[in-house]
Amino acid sequence: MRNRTICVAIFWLIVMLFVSQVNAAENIIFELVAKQQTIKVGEPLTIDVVFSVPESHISELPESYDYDLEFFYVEKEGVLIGKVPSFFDKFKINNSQDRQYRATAVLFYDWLERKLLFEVPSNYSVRFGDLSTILTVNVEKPSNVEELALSLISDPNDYFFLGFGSRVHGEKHSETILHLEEVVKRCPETVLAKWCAARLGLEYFKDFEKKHRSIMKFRSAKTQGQIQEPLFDKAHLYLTKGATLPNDFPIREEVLLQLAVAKFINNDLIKANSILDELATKYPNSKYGKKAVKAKAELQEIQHSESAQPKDPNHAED
Amino acid sequence: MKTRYILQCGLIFIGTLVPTAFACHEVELRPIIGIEVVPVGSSANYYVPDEPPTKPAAFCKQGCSSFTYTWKVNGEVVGSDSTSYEHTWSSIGTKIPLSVTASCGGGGHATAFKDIRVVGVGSVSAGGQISIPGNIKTIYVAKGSDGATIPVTAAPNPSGAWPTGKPTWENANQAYEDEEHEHPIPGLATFPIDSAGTTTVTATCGTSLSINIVVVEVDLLEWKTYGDNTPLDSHPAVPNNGGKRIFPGHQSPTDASSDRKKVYVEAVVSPIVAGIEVYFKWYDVDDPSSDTSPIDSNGAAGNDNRGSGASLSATSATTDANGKASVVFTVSMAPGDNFKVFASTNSSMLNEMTQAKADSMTLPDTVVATEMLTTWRKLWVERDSMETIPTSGNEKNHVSGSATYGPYGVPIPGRTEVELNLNLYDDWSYIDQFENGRFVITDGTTERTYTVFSNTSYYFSHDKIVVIGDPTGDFGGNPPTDYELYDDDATAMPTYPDIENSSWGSKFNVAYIKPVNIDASDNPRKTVVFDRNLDIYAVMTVSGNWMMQRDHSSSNSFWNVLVVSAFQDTDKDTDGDIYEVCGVSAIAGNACVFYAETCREASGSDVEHTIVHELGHTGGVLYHCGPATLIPPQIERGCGQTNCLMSNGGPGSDFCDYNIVEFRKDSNW
Repeated sequence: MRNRTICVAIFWLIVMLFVSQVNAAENIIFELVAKQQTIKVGEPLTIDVVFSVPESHISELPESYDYDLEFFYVEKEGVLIGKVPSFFDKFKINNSQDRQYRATAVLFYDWLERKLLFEVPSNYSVRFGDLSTILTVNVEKPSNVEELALSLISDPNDYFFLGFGSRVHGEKHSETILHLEEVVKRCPETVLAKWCAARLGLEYFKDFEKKHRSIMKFRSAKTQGQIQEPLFDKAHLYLTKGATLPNDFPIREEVLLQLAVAKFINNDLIKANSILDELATKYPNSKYGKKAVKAKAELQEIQHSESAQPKDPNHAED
Repeated sequence: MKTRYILQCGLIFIGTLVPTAFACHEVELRPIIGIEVVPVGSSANYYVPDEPPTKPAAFCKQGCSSFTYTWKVNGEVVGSDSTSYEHTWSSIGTKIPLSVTASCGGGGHATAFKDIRVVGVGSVSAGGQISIPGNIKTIYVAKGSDGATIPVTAAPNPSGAWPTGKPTWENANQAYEDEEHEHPIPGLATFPIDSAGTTTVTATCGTSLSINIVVVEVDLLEWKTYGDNTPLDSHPAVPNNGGKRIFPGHQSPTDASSDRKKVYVEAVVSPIVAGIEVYFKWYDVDDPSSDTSPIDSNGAAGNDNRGSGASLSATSATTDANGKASVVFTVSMAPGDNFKVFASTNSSMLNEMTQAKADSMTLPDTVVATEMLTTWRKLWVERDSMETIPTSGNEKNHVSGSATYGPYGVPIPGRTEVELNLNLYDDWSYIDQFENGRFVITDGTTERTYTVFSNTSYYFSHDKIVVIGDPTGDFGGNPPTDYELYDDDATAMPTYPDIENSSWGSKFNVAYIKPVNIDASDNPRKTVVFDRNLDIYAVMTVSGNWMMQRDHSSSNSFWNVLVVSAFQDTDKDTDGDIYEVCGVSAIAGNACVFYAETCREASGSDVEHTIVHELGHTGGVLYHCGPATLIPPQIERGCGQTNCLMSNGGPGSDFCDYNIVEFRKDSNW
């Protein structure tokens, strides 16, 4: 842990050095970019927050900027209806040529007021702090199935579990799990269902990891048909569904990484490799994109090692 | 005289009709000369002018040349044989007859008369009160400005004119019709009321009569603690308000009194007398802690308090037997709100008070002011902590398993690689997470501990650690396989940092806030379930178990904040994420968490320092002050001070003005 402390100290020195050298004359404007200008009630809104650092400020761009807490201000017909913490702590470099940084947020639920953000069809405007462009979003009436999905997760605990998982929710109330599973089951094509699936997949995988401390041993036992584990099966199922989320949906990166491990356990090494490739390619600057590179290297080493050993007659690709 | 002469002649005429009557000499007498209006008790000379030969006092037509004179007062003979007479007038009266009779040898006589008014002081009055003999009054007058006077009048007895030059005045000044003081106004004097004290004013006209005049001023004006409220105390040296401070919030979590905002304003008059009306006014005087924005945008002027609801219970009160008059002042609740009350026995003078005069302390005569009274708030800190670190279950703080040992010295001399035969998962799954930790093995008789040099974080394969030393060699080639792997954590739980008595707690002084620990008796539920890695988002969104043992909520009457001692956060990813989170606040929850183990590990991080920073967030500072943040430097917020306590990551040592403005609010903390 001492190394980390030293790292912190060095980092601060670097930060203070470039802070002292900058010319603060130019203001940065955050540009809000949404993939959809129109969403439906109950549909999460994914927003990219983008800014470019002028060359006059700093010549050598850092890989990321940690960002202080900021709020998204959501207005409906000119009236402020929500003030939602951004909850992302980093802007990753997005395009070094344009000196552009990006962070992605999902606006869906007002975590502080504990209510849905886009509750009724209307025109909404969104801004990020005081230095951003204003994004206009048209929220339309939901379809029947979307309305059903929403009705199935009406409890604040459901939303917290969906947004943050058990690490924030604390106890995984069985009711919450049931609610999310019901959404996946009854409204499978909605974005909400895919998000629910992603969260369920990650949580089931955590439970699986706690129960089975060795990936390799479980994989071996499973391969030999010596073990049945519903936790793993559910994790695999939901991670697979969760992976169908749009590429820019933040939770998808983590889902892909765990899905790759699940595929490895299932001996689907081709799929595991392709998922890791996708992760590394689509999200090269993200935490999970970098993890994917390391995981890929580890996977290849295992493959190399296993290929050197005699083939197990019971080993079958799924 | 003509009437008397006719009467005399009438008698002579009657005498001519009476055969036995004899004819007398006809005498004429000149009138009595002397003062007709005299002060009682005084002597006066009376005489009949005698200017022979042409104008003798008495004249007999029959030629008598000698006369005898008889002086009478009220019919009694008081003197004779002289044309003059001196009399001492000892009794008051309206028409006391004075006469002198001149008689001649021929039986003739004539009498001259004069009515005398003998005057005393009938009454003396001032300020609506009238003293009369045997009933001397005392009047109370509010002290006036320099040169101010009140009239004092005296009335004669019997009514009518005063004797010339009367009455005379003692301790009052004769009033005049003219500025040259040539024409005194009888019976009228002026009395100066520009200094406090008791004076007896006396009017004298033969006799004396007094009236007591008491000029009263407010001698002392003080703030006094109301009821069983927290005693007012002297304001600390910083900020430089001086005077007294009041804590108007509740005194404890169970206190429900609505009187904590109240304070007595007590005036003591001089001289000490009961029944005196004292008048009061209050002003929101200038905030002395700053004369610049954002704290004090109206400079040296007052009327800059942030709270509302300050008021006086009455604009006047009457002194008791001890000369004390009190009203109740209710302060506003925003910390730093400051007040002065002004009082006078003279309502007119008090009405000359203005905000500007209060600000500059240029007070009208007779008006006195209290010291400044400043509102302070206690920030009641409820201290909860995670319970003792468990030794089993999911939240235990170690990993156990069965090890496989590599050869000593491979891959690094002096070290041994150990395969853990499991995957380090979740919050342990970071490279070198266990660096400097402990690897503990025992064969039943000997327990050995090895320092961890490094660890892997694999996605698929079993993780490995490298320990310093040779476990295989130490156990004679047969090391135990069962192990326990510990991180280098050293913090014992529960832990309850003391902000109240920490030097960091006093950092809130600049905002007139005093952090105070809630007593253990008022905080019966003080341990929460242990969570090895409490997520910062759980705190920020007020979710999860960490605040389940909160005993008290916060209100504007009772500023309460929950500080929970947690172990460490989940932000343990060294893959480019090196930011240590020592504390985090619940944005909407009046609560915060500090991570005790993280704080311990972060170099030089002071626990109380971290908590005070987080308390700052709970007080409304949502953003970190620049520039010491990791944000693009041109997006600085707030003060721009490098030493600001609310800057990010490496906070400074003092709150900046922008922070202070957030804290000094008239609402819930």
